[in-house]
Amino acid sequence: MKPDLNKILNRQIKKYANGEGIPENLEPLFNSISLFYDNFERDQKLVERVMDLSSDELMDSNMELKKLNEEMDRFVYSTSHDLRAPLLSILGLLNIIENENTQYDIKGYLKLLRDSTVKLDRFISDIIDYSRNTRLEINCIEVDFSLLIEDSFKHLNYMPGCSTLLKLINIDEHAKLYSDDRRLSIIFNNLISNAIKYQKTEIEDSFVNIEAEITQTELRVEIEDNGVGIAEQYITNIFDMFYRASPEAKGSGLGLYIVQETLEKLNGTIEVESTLGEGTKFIVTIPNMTLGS
Amino acid sequence: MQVEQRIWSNNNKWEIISNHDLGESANLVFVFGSTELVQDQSKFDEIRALYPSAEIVVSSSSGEIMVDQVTLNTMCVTAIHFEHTTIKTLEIKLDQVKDSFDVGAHISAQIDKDDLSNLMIFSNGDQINGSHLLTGLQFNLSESVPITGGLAGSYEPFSATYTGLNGVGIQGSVIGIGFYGTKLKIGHASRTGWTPFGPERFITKSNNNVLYELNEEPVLDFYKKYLEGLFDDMVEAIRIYPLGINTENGQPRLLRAFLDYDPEKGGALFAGDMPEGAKVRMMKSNINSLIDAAGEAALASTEPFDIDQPDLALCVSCVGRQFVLEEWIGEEIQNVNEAFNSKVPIAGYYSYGEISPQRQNQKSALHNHTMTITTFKEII
Repeated sequence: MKPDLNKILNRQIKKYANGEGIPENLEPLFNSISLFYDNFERDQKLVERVMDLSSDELMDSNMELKKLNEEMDRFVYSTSHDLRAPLLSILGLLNIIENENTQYDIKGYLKLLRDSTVKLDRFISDIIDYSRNTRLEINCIEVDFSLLIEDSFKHLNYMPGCSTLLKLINIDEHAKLYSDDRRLSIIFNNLISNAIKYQKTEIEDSFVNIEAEITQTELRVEIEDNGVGIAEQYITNIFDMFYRASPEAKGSGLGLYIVQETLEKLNGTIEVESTLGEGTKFIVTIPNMTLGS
Repeated sequence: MQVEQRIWSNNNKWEIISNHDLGESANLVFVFGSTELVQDQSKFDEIRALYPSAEIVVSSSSGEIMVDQVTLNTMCVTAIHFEHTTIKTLEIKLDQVKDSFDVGAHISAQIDKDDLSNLMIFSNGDQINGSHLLTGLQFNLSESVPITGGLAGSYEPFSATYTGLNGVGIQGSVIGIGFYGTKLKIGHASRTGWTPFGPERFITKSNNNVLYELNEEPVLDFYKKYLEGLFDDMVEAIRIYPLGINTENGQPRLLRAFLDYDPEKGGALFAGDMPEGAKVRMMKSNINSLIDAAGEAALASTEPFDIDQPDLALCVSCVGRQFVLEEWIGEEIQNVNEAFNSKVPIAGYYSYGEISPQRQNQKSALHNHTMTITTFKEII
């Protein structure tokens, strides 16, 4: 029996050749048969592996689709709910205006109408930001970070409490910053608007302190405020879609979710430290990209 | 149409396979041989002395095909006398033009197109981008003119190749032969014997014939998932499981032979373009299916073209088939010969790329891993 022949072939020879082995002149034939057996076995293993891997891939994409589907369900439910609330309020106010004495406090109602409309508009803007982040490729350019933060405040100036908030900004630029400016705007608009939104009403020295450092490798930004803070038990959930830490929360529940999704696209990270009643600090780290990456 | 054949080997010298004393009357001579022999001036002079008026087309090969055998270190000469057909030849050298596309565009622009019924191409095999050559050839030529032929080969995998027109084989030359006249019937077929397996993947990163990523995964990682552990040498393994491009027209996949892997750039070199966005699957074959496919190619190169017993069959088979067939390589040629009832003169060679429409009335394309046959029949 030849040890280098295929195992099954060896067994067949042992069983049917009466222990006499293979005549020398038939050795090439048996070697050829053995090689074919080997190749068939190898191909069989390969096909099994293909099936295993394909089955795993199918399971994975199924899970992924399931997750997306659930997210979509939640998104549609919450979105329609949040879109309807300000609309219902607008309709209610219109009813009052129609039925009330025309002279009576029209201006007050108009202000309420405006508030509801602004809320609706902000919510829709958030959704647009979210969809833009999901859809668009990263567009890396040289970014003037001071200007970007300045623009953020300009953009948010209409928000109540923005003008009275003390703004401390310190940017250490050790290197040029290359990143996706639109995505950076989404991230910092959201974080700064939170600091504005969640000020303590009872104090007069509310502040937001932005400390940024730009190096060859990364952009690191700390955004600290002395606002209402977040209760410890809610901290882990604040980045979830449509999560609002308290019934008084004024936003869409999309802001921090969008921040995290956008950071993921830029391979960045975010950490949060907060004490209820004392303030919140977000620490954002984003890799400094190179042009064309 | 008359055909006579002879074969040179250092041991047996000239061996006459068939003889019609064509001499002065031969119009066209195909010479396929080893890279050394096709560059040998004295051998060429002997052939020229035999056929003083013929257009002599020379190509180096990865294995010579004659009658029902594959030989190495030989030079196979097939001389043809056409009674009612004219031929016109031209040669474009790569260093005279911009690139592979330009070679094709020059040939298709310069070749006389009145009554052109078929174009054969014998191209350099190592410096040319065959896909770009084909695009160039089709630039100035009606799609109804079939283009067949192949890229030259060599015994050393993917080293220098030599082609020549009315002279010894040189590097970087592409030769076109136009066939004119209504009495000549030309059939063609290309068959693989390969079947797809495994998942469909998108080519997400490539540059011409260098493939980097499938579904954004490095190509070597993709192959390793399937082949690691089953083979000692990954490069050898990938050669046995090349990729097939989905043609989107319901036809069999266009095969792309894997040549080598560049560990520095992380790219896999294939013997034809791997366009981004194309869908590919791994391909597998076995000795049986390859030998059978060669026979099918023989039948497909005659029956649909209404050619009964051609005057000559010219086989261009892929060097990649040798990786799988190994010592069975001769059987595929025997099978071709049997499909022709052993009554048809057969010539040809193993190549770095085959040129042919995939099916009748289709656009010509560059193939790998196929047996491609062009048949000739002059009707009286």
